Amino acid sequence: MTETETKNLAKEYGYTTYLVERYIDLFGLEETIKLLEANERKPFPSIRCNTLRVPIKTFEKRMKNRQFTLKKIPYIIHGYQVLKSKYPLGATPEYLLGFYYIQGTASMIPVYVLDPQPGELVIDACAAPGGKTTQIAQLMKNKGTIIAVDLKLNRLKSLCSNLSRCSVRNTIVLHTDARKLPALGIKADKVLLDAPCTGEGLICIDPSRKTSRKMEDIHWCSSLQKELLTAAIKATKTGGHLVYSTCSIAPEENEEVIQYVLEKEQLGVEVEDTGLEIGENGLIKAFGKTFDLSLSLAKRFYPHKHTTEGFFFCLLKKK
Amino acid sequence: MSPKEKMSFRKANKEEVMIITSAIAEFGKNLPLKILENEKILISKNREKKVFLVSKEVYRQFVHIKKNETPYFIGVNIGEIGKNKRFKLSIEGIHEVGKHTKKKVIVSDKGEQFVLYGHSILKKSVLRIPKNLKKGSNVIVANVYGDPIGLGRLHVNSEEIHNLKDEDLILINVLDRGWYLRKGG
Ligand SMILES: C[S@@+](CC[C@H](N)C(=O)[O-])C[C@H]1O[C@@H](n2cnc3c(N)ncnc32)[C@H](O)[C@@H]1O
Repeated sequence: MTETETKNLAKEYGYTTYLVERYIDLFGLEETIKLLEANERKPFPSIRCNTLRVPIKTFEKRMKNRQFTLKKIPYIIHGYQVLKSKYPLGATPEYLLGFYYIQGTASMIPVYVLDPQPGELVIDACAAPGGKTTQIAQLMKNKGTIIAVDLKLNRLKSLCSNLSRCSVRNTIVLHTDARKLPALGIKADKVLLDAPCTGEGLICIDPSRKTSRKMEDIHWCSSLQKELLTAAIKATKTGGHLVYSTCSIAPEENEEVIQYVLEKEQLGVEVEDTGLEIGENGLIKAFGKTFDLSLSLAKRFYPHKHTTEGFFFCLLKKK
Repeated sequence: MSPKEKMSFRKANKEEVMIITSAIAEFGKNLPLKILENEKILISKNREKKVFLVSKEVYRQFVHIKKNETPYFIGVNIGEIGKNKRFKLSIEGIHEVGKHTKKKVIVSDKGEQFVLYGHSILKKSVLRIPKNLKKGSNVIVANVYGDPIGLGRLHVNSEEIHNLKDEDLILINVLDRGWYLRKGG
């Protein structure tokens, strides 16, 4: 493919050229076109039933009464696609009662992979607005403790509002930089790092991201992510687990970040199998760089393959 | 809570526990025990004295963490103690109380919509109301399924309701879960 052809393709779909160039390099032309096409279609919104507030059966009945057409997502026990709705999802009495959280399909999976248990100590390192914190509390049945951290005050307000709405009781919210986690002097059983990212995977939901991010942003995010993950690992106890996730499909924000911590031997982490059948394997090479073979155990989700937002996650164990 | 302020917490003192307990007891004698048993009560040290319930496990972590970091929020916020030393339920406080109390007014589906828009309640929306409640007393407002959706103040004695017209005001909306939409962010 010539430079002009790439430029034209980028223009046709409204992207900055470098993004399309990168996709072609990573996936080849045919798949790139499928990805660009899929990004033109907004996925159905999805919601997670909050069993802290309502049993699943009651939830299904109540949503039906409210004239919602839901389709169970087969691989997510609390997840539903919303095929039809008469009312805005964020304004129903059921929403206000905390019966559900509006959450991207792929973004529901990392917490099941982390598998937090009642009674454990869990850190949610980049928590706001709380989609995953509320989900962690749900799996912990509100028992044990969650330390939920975020740096941005205005986002903390939404986090606290969502915690309250969803009946979460076991959380301590900290307004701090997650890079300072090791200074807290706690060692958690489980840590989730749902890192700030360029959000490239969300183009199908927010097309402005076709042009709003630059290559510098990817590099900037990548180095912040490496620092955050290093700190998160230090706050995990020996034998404990971490999940690293982003809503980006850029290898610099994903495999490269994991590779960085694998190479730092003193951090003592290894990649573990998620045991999931869905999702593509993580990359073991990208843009001329090669990654540890274990990175194929990480998971990638794409709009054109999984009809979800673009997403990445990786399960790590602290040795 | 304005996003700017940073919380800092201490244990409730005896007077504060009394204030909270007696306010909750207005909704039923056994409610303070049901709601407060096994919980630590923390008070925010800010201008507003917000009241938080925290399990023993969470409290243990809190004691540890506060040496290095001041939490922004903790456990469940059930209300606040005002300058007048009166306890006011928060939305989740209403939920806690609403799960157990008999002082509950059931409103119709339409009525539920009105409440969640922040409106007060007219007679035509009231499906069920307990007997012997005095004008001015606080009651939990619930939907047809019994889910607590707000707190109302009676505008009439509950016995009088039969003599009133459909459009007459029964309950003044004090606080409702529509807050999450209007202000929750
Ligand atoms: C992808 S979002 C998290 C979404 C959240 N986990 C959820 O599921 O709802 C990333 C978050 O990281 C926060 N953040 C950015 N830099 C941070 C830092 N250095 N420490 C802690 N949080 C940070 C942002 O404010 C943002 O809320």
